[in-house]
Amino acid sequence: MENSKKIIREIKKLGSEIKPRPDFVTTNRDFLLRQISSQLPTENIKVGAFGYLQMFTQMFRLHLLEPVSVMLVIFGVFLSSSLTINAAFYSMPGSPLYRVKIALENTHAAMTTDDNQRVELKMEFAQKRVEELNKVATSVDINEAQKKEQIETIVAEFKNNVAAVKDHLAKMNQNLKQASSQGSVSDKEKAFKMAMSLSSKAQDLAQSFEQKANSLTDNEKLEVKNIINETVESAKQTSVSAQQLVAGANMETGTSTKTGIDGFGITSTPPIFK
Amino acid sequence: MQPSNISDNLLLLRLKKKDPEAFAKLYDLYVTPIYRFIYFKVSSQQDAEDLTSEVFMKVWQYVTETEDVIENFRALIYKVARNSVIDFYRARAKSDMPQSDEILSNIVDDHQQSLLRQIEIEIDVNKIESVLKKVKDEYRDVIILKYIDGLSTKEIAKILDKSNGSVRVLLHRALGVIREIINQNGKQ
Repeated sequence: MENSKKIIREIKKLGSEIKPRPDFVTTNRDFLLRQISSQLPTENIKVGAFGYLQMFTQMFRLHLLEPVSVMLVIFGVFLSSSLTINAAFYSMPGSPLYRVKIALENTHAAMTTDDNQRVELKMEFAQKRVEELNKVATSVDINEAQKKEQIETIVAEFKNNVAAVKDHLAKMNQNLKQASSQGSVSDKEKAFKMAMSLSSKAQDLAQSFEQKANSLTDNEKLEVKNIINETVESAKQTSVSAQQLVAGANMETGTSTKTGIDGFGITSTPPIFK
Repeated sequence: MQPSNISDNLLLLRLKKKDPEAFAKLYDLYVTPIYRFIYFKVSSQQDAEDLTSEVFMKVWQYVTETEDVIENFRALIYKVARNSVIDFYRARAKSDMPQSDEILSNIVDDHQQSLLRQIEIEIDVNKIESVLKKVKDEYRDVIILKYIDGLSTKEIAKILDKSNGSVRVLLHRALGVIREIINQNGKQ
């Protein structure tokens, strides 16, 4: 067995020692290539080129096109999403993207964990509705029916935002009572500050909404008069609720609250109640 | 030299479309092992070179003309080489060049026998080439294909038109014969 292994080893060694003359390899190569070249019809060379094309196409597809395509699809989805969101951001009632805009606003609010921040957002959204109302009211490229429909949409959303603020005020009121019983000065001060802010903003919203609605023509006003009044009243009511909450807090906290209020630099009553 | 089947098949596809570049690449890959395979069988450098050139030309003709599917290019080129050597000996059947596996049996001259034995005495494992030239063609084929060119049993079976089992038996016997020759040389 050992002898066989030795023989095999020597055979392998022999294989590495026997080689053709380099001169023969080269000259024979040239000779053969000349021989076959003379047999090559023109059309076959074209077939060869086509073969190369196929090979490169396949390589291009596998190694370049497919990864780039995937990247383009991802980029396209990302870009189209960004563009859609951007387009939705500037959309107006009557546009299919307006629903997307409202949905995005609601999602934004839902994802905000802090209650105060959420209600601030609702106020901000309400302010956007006022701006939309202004645009619709001054718009001349839509007919009265369309204008009415769009104003109704804006009003509905505005009411939703204001209602959310009102709900928050009620919740704040509840919390304030609990804070009074537990003697938490810090919570009361925060609630007071928030109520002051909301009261002021709600009043501004009511005034703005009323003012923008005045841009409508008399005929248009007739169409939407009731809902505009209702909306303005709702905003005013929200402001009143906030003011009541402030007043209630003052009564309950007395001197200590005033000290706290002074500490925040908020001592003035909202303009509407002056 | 152990060319991969994948690269062989890619070159083969191009060769079928008469691509000279693919032919040149296959030539570069196989010229040495094919020359060596032939050299062991013809014992002459000049004959080995002529037959090597002929083999590549035949392969070109066959691959570019056949409609058959070529599964293994390496097996094909060795088979062409083997058949070329057979044709070579057939053409010289009546000449004074005996086939290598018949060297010993054909040497009848006492003086020549004595001279050959003198040479054999000097044979050791390092002179395995001489031993290889004295064994039967099929023994030498399997030994060269297996241990020098590194072909698989399956590929050898395809080249020799035998079953895998037959190739394994041939290898075993070939090694036994070579060992016996070497042992005998050592004793004398």
